[in-house]
Amino acid sequence: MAAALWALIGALAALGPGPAGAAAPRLPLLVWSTERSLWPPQSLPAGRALSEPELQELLEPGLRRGPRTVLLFLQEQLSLEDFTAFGAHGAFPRLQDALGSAGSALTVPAVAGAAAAALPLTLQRLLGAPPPLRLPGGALAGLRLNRTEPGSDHPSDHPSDHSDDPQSDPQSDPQPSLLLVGLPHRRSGLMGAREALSRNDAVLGEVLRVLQEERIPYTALLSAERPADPRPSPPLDFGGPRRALLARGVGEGPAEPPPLRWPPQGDPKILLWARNLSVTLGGRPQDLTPKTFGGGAEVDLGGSSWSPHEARLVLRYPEVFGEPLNITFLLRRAWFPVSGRPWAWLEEIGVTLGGAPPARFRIRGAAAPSPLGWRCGDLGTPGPLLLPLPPLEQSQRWGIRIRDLQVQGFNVSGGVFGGASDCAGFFGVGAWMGLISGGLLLGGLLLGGGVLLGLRPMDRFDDPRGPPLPVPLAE
Amino acid sequence: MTGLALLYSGLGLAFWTTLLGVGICYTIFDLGFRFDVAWFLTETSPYHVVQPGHWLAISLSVVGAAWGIYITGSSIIGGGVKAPRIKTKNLVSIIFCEAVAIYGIIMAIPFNGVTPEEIGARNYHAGFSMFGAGLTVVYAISSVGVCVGIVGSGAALADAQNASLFVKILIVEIFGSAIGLFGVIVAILQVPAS
Repeated sequence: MAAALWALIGALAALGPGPAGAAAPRLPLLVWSTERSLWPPQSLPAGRALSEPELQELLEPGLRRGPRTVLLFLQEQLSLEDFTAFGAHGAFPRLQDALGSAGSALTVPAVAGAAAAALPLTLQRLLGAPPPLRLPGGALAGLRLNRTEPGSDHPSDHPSDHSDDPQSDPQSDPQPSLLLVGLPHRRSGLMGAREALSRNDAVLGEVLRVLQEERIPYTALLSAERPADPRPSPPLDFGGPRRALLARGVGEGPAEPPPLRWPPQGDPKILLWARNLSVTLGGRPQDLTPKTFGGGAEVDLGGSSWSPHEARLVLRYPEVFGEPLNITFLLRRAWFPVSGRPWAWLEEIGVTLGGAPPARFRIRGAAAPSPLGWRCGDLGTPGPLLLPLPPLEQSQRWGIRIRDLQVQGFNVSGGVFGGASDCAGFFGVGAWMGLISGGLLLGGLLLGGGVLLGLRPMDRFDDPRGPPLPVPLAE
Repeated sequence: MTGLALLYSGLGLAFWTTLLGVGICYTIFDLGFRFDVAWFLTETSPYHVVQPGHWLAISLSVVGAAWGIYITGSSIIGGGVKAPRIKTKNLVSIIFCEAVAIYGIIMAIPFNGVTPEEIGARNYHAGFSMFGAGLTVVYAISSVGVCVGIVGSGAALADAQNASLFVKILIVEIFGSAIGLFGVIVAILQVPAS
């Protein structure tokens, strides 16, 4: 336990602030097997990439108990976003079938680049296998694989291993088989990402079909040599041309880190992105942006939760100002009968340092109809939108500054932000006050002008052709 | 169409066209929720409506009184040509009109010295009730000023014809002035409540 904790701390330290601007690569890893219950349900560390020791610790129990045939599918580029972007468009039908029919499956959304690169060696070490047999293009012709069932005492009476070496003795070699399948199709100018993924999926499916026809139990892993290059922003579809709101594809430019997603696996339910996130305690500022977004992120989202009426995104930093720091974004959603639609709002931001009582801040006006998120160019204290809540002795110690914040806690689809309502309107508050006051003044001016211009001399008794009026001298 | 009518109709057309265009854009882009009167009322400073209440109270009450004086004065001057005896007696009507303006000054005194710090940033009740008090005075006094003026004009002309009519018409003027006082009383009640 203590060793694991130190390994985790060491892994976090290794993932800690690197060279300014450097982004450590992270790759997804899919693992599935024909054998059941190799990896019981477990919570993976959220929001950060697994290091090589952690990956080894994760894979070891299942590989030890699982089938002796292990395939490692490696393609040139792969990112988690490929599954969210292209999965719904039929780029991975055979992979989806394999995962659906597998006895056990494990999805690791982020593995550190170094750990992914060392995956063949890691598997070789865990299995005690000889160097992996490379199968370019997935060619399995002429290969005889170990049909050893997992859990059998000894595979000595079973046909054993790979046979390309004519001097090997298949009857006395019960070693596990590690096959490295290089998926051949690469993204290029002629072949887009989706087509390359789809063709590689076909190769993967062919290999698995051969294994299934031979009734060979196996464990398969899918990863890549390097992360995919950033994609251009996908078209933001909010239901037609009617809605072209204030949203933009944040986190998808080449220089912008992707938004925080929770849960990190599968379809995220909460998205958060900011260009800059910093806190100040007692006059001491701390920029949390590199710890929150991008390759050097060390934030843990494990304390977050979601329900149809409340979304809570908890950012846990291991050490800020010498103690663990939690920043909580609380979003709520409710149906308003007069409006006839559900509204969602960012209700509160909480800051908790160590064991101290939380400093809470209320956000004013961060509400929008539920399908929309909320964006604000500048949110912080002191400011008109972020108000400290009692106990004031806690909340007044802290300062928060978030620039270009965009958050969406409900109706997240496709893993990208939907439309967003901006905190800034066309006119500011001062502009509206000036317009109203100016309007009143203009109205008064027009009224006065109308009165003056409507003045007429009293000519009721005026007869131009009559005799002049006598003016008595006595009065 | 005269120049003034052209100006007013042009301004009105521009205003309503702008409003219509903005409303259509908000509707077709599904941004109707951004039209938020509650946001305006709660975000703007309450103090920004206190001062308009203040100057509306004094200015439009004086406008009403001045209008009354203009009506009455021109009648007194006109009627005084044929019946010079009415000049002095009908100055009472002028005084009644001027008293109406004093009502506006009476209302301006409670507004005097009110600062944003006194009201506070979120004291909507204070701000809007003071604005309401100002509007109460505006509507009451401006119309009463015109009323007293028209009645005073009638009194002057009737007095020129028949001296015995003056006192009776003066009673009508008194009632007209009294109803303006009702508005002032209500406005005074509104101000301390804030």
